[in-house]
Amino acid sequence: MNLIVASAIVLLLMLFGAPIFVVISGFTLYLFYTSQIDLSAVIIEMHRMATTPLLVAIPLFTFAGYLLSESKAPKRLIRLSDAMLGWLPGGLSIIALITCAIFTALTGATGLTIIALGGILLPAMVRGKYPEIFSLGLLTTSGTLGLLFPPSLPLIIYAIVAKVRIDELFLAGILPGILLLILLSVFNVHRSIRADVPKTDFQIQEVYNALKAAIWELPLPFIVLGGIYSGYFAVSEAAATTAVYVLLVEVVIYRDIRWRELPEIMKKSMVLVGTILIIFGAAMGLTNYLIDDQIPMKILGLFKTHIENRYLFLVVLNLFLLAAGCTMGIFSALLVVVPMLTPIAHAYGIHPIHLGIIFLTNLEIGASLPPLGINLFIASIRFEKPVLKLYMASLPFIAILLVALAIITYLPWFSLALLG
Amino acid sequence: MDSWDRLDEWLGKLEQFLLAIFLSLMILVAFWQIVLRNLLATGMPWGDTLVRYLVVWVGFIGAALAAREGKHIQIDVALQWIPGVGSVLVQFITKLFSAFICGVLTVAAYKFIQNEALMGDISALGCPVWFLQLIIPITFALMTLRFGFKSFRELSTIFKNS
Amino acid sequence: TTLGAQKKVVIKMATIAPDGSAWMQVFNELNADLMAKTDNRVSFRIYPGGVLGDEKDMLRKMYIGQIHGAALLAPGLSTLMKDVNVTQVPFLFETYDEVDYVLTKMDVFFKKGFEDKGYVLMGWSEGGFVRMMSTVPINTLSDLKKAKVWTWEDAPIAQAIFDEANISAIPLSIPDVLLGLQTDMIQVVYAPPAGAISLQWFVRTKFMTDVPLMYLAGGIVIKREVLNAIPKADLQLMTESIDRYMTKMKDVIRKQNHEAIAVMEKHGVKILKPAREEIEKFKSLSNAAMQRLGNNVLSKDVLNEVYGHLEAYRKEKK
Ligand code: NA
Ligand code: NA
Repeated sequence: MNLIVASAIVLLLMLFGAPIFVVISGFTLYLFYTSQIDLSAVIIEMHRMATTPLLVAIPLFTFAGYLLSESKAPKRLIRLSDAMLGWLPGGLSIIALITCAIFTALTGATGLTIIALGGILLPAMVRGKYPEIFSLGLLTTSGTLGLLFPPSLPLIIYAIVAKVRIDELFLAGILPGILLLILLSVFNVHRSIRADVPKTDFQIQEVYNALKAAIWELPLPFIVLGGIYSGYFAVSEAAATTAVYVLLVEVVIYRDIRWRELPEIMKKSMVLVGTILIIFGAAMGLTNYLIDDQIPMKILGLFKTHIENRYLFLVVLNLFLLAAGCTMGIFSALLVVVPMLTPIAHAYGIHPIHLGIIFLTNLEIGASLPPLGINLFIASIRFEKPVLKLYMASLPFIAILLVALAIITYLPWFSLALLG
Repeated sequence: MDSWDRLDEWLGKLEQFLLAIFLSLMILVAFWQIVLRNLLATGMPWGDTLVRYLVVWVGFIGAALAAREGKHIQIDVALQWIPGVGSVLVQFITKLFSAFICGVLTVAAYKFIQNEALMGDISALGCPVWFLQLIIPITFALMTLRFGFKSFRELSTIFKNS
Repeated sequence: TTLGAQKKVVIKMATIAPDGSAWMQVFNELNADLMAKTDNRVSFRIYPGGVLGDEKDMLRKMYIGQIHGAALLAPGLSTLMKDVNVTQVPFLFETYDEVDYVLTKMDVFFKKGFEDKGYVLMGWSEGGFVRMMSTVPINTLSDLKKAKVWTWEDAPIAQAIFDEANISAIPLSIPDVLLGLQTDMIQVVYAPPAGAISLQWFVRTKFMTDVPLMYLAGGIVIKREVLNAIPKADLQLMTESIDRYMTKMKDVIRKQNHEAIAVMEKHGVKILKPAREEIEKFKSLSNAAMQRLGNNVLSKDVLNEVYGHLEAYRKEKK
């Protein structure tokens, strides 16, 4: 009873504008307090989250993303893509989709994609006469599909936690990833035609000029991608290299940004990092309580006793994972839920690699799912738009992703075909 | 109140300065690691630890500064439907609640530091680990003060209006 | 009667051993045995797979009482009692018999060390003998010096070895190791064979140098105050259960490490057997490094005591 009252108060405070991290922390503190566990348990979790080695990429990519968005890079990139794909209806939206996917595959963090690329792509799309609500939805939800492509970090983590072969999982993600890409591209082209996005004529001279103008920014994806694949950088190092390269290009070469503007950009980007990290930390604290009280296990116990049919199990599994991705976030959900779910799924006869792809697809959709999907909040602060507007913007994209999810879930062929 | 504003403004500048220093250091150390690893096939054993704690410092200072600038992520769907004084009252309550929670987190973080000091681990940087973690209670205390003064300000608006 | 009113004791434990692993299976058997013997008055609740964090986090949570005990490996154990570090000295033990002999001899000393900090060492478990795995063949010390060697940060003993050999090891966190191997950022890693399998490292390594590099001890510790709340008779039953199953656990892990090498071989990992004189070179390097190790890592007296036991055992065996 007390728990219900506490939940209601917390929910009310959240709707009335108390910061999310305060709300989650408050609820967690209450739960620990009633279980007579020392409250510093919450801090242990925040510290554990903040010192996660892979997290180093977040401030570095964020800073690089802010630099790019404060420079004239978006203008140059838009000019270039317009020159190359402007003749195609929805060309820019497809470019946005693919860049976001590559970026997410490299960084493993969907929020990072929104922060780093959103600031460039949103103004570009709006300038390209794409409807604002469509652009917001695209940039909030679509980056996640990169999670299915190697070397995405969640893929690696899943393989480790579930003890499946990483190389097999890498292969398994490719077809489902392409499926998502195609479905979203078709939707984008359809919307662009409907919104009557202006097309331009293809001119080779303009392509050449645009290429020349953006020549220093073009190597960026190759620095990140090539660096990681060739072994020159770890993900965190790719982030550092990106930051250094972008600094060099925008401040020294193009001089779009002056040296004395840097402290302000650093502050702005790090305030954003702070607001995100502290929510991650609070969520980690809550997750810790849930594990301590064995809540996920209790839920799964119910699964086992009430569901006999395999297809029904898959439906419930999808709902459960969507909720997990929406509330806990991709990384905590992977660490918490995978070890408990894999034995059960095995009992229902689901292939472990297929299960991994189901997991990641669900979690990536969950991360953009209203009401609590973290991407919505990150996008809200990055684009300075109310969260409610992002809910509305993301819904059509979520619908498409859910169709793809159903296909991936019920047709194991997509995940297993390349394994031979 | 005025003296708090002056102090807070000064603190804000200090935080901005520290963010710039720490982020620059993070970029330098992380980048130097790459040079060492690839060109000289070596590394700094303390480099990763330093970078990791720089993330902690930047993250928590960023969060404290976000409290000053009102940048923390929030959903205020319901707030738009409440008119006038009611809205101010609601903001007073949410800010007071935020101050209270941050206060509890400050105490919890202080206890965390005490335990870390008792555990007595020495970091790869040569200093005790608790010293590196000290930023957590400090920034939570700062957030407590900031939310506290903000809620107080909402309260005084109510009295001025009525 | 007071007997019916007795409160049930649930001991909350954490481990990094994954759910479903051989270690966890034995631990579940132990728990079932304990519950049957004590009529459910005493039981364990275990959080496997590192869901509560790494060993440092487990120690923190033990400290504030969120969990009551933990199964830790030598690095975690040595945070509570630094002299456990002595078990990690490279090339110290050559066989499991030597390990068992020395740990039995030193049992009282180690137990007292934990007791002084308010913890009870319920029994020894282990990670096993650590071996080098690599993408380039490592047969000699000079092979190692030429290779890009991984190191775990915060590993003072390994660091001493690398310093002595003038190797600049490359520090990477565990999640980065696999990618590091895949991309040739690092070429040499080390772990117990079973660990290399569960971390998937064996997929990316082509060679394993079949020399026991060092021993990775493990143990179960529980807070003294938690055990004090258990009636004497039940505590006795619990100690018996733990003793019996810890032996079984050790056997299971040893078998698993043994089989892990076969699994690797089946996956095309080539097993290298360095020449005797090369092994001696590694050993003298390790000895020199240990001489320079500070007393804050482990005390020289304890190290010498262990050397003494080993010498006695080896003489006796001859
Ligand atoms: Na990342
Ligand atoms: Na990496």
